[in-house]
Amino acid sequence: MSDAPKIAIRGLKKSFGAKSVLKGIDLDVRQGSSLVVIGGSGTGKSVLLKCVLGIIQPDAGEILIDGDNLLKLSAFDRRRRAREIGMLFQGSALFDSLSVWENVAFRLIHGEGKSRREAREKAIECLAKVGLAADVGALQPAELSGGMQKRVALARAIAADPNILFFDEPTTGLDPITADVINRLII
Amino acid sequence: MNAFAVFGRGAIALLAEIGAMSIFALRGAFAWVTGPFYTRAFLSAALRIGFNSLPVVGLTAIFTGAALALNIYDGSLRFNAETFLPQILSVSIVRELGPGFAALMVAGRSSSGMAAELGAMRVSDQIDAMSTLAVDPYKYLVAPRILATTLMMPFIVLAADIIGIFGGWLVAVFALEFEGATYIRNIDQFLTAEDVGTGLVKAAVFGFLISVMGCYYGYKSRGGAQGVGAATRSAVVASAVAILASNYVMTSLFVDF
Repeated sequence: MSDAPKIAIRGLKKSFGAKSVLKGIDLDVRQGSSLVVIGGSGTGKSVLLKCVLGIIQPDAGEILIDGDNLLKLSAFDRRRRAREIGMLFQGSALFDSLSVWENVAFRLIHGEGKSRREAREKAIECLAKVGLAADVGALQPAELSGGMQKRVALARAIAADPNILFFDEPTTGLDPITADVINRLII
Repeated sequence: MNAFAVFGRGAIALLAEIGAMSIFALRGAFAWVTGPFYTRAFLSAALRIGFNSLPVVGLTAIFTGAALALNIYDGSLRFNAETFLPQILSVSIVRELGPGFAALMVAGRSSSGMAAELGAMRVSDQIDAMSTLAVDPYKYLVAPRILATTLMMPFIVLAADIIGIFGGWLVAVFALEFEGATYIRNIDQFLTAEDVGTGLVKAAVFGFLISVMGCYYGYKSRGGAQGVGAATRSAVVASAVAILASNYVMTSLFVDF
């Protein structure tokens, strides 16, 4: 295995008006390892993740994945890079106009051009991995409990077999038992 | 307080908003060109905006046509020109009232719907989630709505024109004792393809503006339910102003003096 970090962040800065949220962050994450960022509310954990995901543009610094600086990639290359990344949002962020299986298969159908039949099979497989039965796939996200929504979001994040997985407070708002289930699924 | 500074800040903010809106409109309208084109999202938007708007547009058109017939008849009686009712009514509807009223109704129904839908997706991180799933939200959410509204509006307005003229015919025949077939023949002989065509061009422009306003305010909304409410309100107000202002500009271009 190469010594080069999978993800390297150098001097990352981000301010919102006068409020400086990220003040020159440096960190390395090696292939096959996990990193947990802990901090109080409003200290910039989600902002850091959103910068890496390209949702927020940082003011300064570098974000390197396999040595490529994401901030210097073209929009096309950046989207290609995004295929390697899965993300579980704090509030699940499931598409409420789509059924559960369509949520899980969203990237496969719309990002990778797979047929709906093939994508559905993969979605059901991913739902099984997170402990949800196939018939849950036909439900709408609004019909699920908070814990089930988190599981579906996790299934969606892993559906395209990403190399990198990000979790933004994956157990927020869940009871301790459900939170433990989600933690075990993540590990 | 310096009045010039206040005016200047307002003017700069307005220009910045128009600039941001123009960039958004261009990016959204042409996002599909480089592919992929999301046919299912386009057809769903076309059905919701086009077909589902027909009942409310039809109701507006029939009552507008009926009221217009009474007003034209009453006004033209003053100089014995009441026989021109079919001609005046039809040209008023196809050039102005059909496109204008239909666009305002679609703005109230669809522009607000788009702003609310995209706004709710924005504040619940669904749009960000879409980006992380390697799908460009401009291609999947914005382009299909802009394209569908721009293409469907001429059909909606054509329906509004026919229903509006029919509303006028009902009043003329059953309340004002016009002869039905003569009424239709007069319209047929008087109305030109240009009259109808200019109305349909206006419709397409209105459709573009309505969808851009709805998508722009929804896409940029911030701050939870209150932000979504503000986005919806802004989308409807901006759509109505854009419809009325662009209507004047287009009419002045189409009318020959």
